[in-house]
Amino acid sequence: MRVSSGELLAQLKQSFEAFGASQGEYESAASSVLGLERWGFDGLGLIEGALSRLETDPRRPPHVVFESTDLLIDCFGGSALFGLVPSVERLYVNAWRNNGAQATVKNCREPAFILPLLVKVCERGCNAAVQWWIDGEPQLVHRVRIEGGGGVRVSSQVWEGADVVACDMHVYMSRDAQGLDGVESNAIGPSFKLVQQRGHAEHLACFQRSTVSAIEINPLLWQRLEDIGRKMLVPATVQSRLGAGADAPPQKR
Amino acid sequence: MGTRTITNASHVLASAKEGQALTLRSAALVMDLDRFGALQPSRLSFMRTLVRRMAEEAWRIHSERFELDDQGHGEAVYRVVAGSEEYRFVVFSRPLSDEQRNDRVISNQWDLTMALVQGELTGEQLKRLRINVPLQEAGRVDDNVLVLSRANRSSRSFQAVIERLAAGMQPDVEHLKVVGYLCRTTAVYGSGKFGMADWQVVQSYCHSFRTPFSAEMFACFMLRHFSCEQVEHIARVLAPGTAVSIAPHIKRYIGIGNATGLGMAPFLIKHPKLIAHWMLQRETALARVLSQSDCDDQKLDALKTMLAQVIQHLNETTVDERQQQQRNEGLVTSLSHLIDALEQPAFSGWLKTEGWSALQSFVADRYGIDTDELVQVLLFEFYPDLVDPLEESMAVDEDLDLEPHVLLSECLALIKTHYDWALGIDFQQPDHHALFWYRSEEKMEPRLGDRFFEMGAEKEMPMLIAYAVRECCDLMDSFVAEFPDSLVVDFLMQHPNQLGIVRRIQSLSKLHYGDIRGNLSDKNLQPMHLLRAKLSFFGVGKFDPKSRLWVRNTMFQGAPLVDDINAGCAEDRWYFPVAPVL
Repeated sequence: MRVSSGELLAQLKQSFEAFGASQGEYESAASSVLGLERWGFDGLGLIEGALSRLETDPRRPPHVVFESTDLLIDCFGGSALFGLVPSVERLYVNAWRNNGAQATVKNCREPAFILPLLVKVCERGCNAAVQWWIDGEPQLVHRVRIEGGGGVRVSSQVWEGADVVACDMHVYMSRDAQGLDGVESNAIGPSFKLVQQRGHAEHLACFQRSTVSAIEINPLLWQRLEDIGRKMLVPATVQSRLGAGADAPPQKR
Repeated sequence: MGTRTITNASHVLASAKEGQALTLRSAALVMDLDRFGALQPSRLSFMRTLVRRMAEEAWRIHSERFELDDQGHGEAVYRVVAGSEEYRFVVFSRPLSDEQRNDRVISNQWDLTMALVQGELTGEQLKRLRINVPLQEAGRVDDNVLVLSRANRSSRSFQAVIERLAAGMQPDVEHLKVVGYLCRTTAVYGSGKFGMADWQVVQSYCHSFRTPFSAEMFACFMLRHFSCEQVEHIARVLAPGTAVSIAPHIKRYIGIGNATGLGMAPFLIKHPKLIAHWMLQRETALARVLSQSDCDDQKLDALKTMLAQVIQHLNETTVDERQQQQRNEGLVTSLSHLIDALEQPAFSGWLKTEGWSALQSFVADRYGIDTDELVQVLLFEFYPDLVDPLEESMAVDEDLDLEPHVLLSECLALIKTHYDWALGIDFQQPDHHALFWYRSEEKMEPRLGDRFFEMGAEKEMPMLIAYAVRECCDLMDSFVAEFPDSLVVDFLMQHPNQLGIVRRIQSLSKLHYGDIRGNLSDKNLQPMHLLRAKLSFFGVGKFDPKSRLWVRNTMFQGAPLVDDINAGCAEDRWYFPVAPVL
């Protein structure tokens, strides 16, 4: 089925509100799913896979284990969808003050959900590069670069390597786009093979397509989101109907 | 067009023309919830704007299909040509018993359901619309649909008008004064709901509907047209030998009814930048008008004529609710006094010397906010060149963003400056924190509950901005006391659940008109004020509250007809309409 961006965003907000997230948090999380989908990173596929766990697992907010200019954040096996906004904002402030900053995010699921948060701060003129490792068969490294200022530019790569061992996410932020080059080149070893590369034009085309047409969503996922969101509705009673204007005397219409 | 310069958060200068600086009224005055309850439709209201656009851009509207049975049931399709763009307005008319006819959002059947569609209408899409449009919220539509709406026949006027037309008589004008419509809408949906086109798409790719709510208003305008064609059709079938059509001057006095409840209120809280921007445009118009120095005899005479017209309009407005009755009566009294004053040479001479700002101050001081707001919108009518260009600036980027690097003490100072109204509320008093807003299981209808006596407060909607600001401010005070040099981001690392309100405070504090200043949890809250403000921007008239929670009103009464638009003779002077003289 096809839904508009507006109704998808509204539904996501309501569903995430039902998870017990605060207003700022569920608004950011909803924007992350939509943003990821619009930039061509399959935000809906990602949320579809995560929904059961998000619904049932107790949410433990990410914890900043260590902080100097750089950050070490532990997500305790939770999703990047919730709780990372303050840390990303901290990184932004540090990068702005020191011309660069980085964060290591450990034990984080669905790391791609950090991308829209980074896009948001890059819209203020910052630049970011992020990479995360997917432990599977084959083992993959995802790298995304976001350049800000005068319109955000997004490009991405997926690398495959037999000797990937880390399961962390690394985020680099810099005032200058060139500042990202060094840290990015350090991360990929000579044995890695580039298996997917999408430039800014491709991501921008995805984004622009999503601004003119509806978004395709699995009807089961939509139904699921609606069911979750319904938990925020209050049962109707005679008393509740009075709270909607039913106390007025019957009028001839 | 002039430019605006924000010199600081509390004082804005607006320039109507190069080198002329204008002072806007303060946010404390303009954004006060009680004043929202006094707002009047104006030249900048979306219905007025739409009709002007249709006339200026020479839209052409014709029936493509009109297949109704003897009872007026069936379907109709209208083709709308607006410059290089084309749209279709599709109406389905179905039988509905009197028992099923209900204005509440929770209804699921209506006399009429309709959609506004961009571009050509294929047979396949018409089939889909035929299935889905009558379902309304339970249906899904294509993404070239801009508006989905429904309406019910008025049990007071629909049949009565048919009977008179069938008997060869015109509708009873005395009756139309009481019920100035044949059908009444109960919901008008747009902006991406149920699969429709997102507002951003409409704004970017539907030039004809590029300003907020213009597509929604157009659907109501077309519903008005259809309702007149429908009664004429039924009358002709009923009495082919005697039936007459509605005379144009009477038809113009037939508007479209509207019933609006609490569902409209959350929009104003969820779209704070948009509402602040609408107020800015309106206040810019006022500042431009008040700065004019050409208050002369001709304009003062015209003002007296307009005031007399408003008095007649109010006298022809039937309102059941006592408070609104009193407000209307108060307006009639004060407007009569004002006319008398304008007859006095000393007073009119003083105005000619001192200008419109003197009149505005006099009215505000002497008669209060209802008259103040009303006289302002009348003055707009003298200066279309100053006011009308603002109608193209009603949309705004609604994104709220953080400034994490700002010193927390500075953010706290912002709160204490811009949200002093919220900090002045004592939420320890149970009456000040008595109500909560929530969504009902019944069609997600927004409702108000009593926090102390009703279930569901744990699921309340985030409508209580004043309360959230108070809570945030207290936390910030403690944080700053402990960490004087901390930044906003330091605070958010410690209090992530404050993210939403901090984002809002920082974003809105940059605007001259920020949040609406009212406590939406107060036991004595008048939600009607919120509805009135938004409806005034739509441009409705005959504001007729049925309780403190829902209101009936009339749209497009007095407006030009489709025939007038097609003939290129649509007039813009249809504010505060009065009954036609037979």
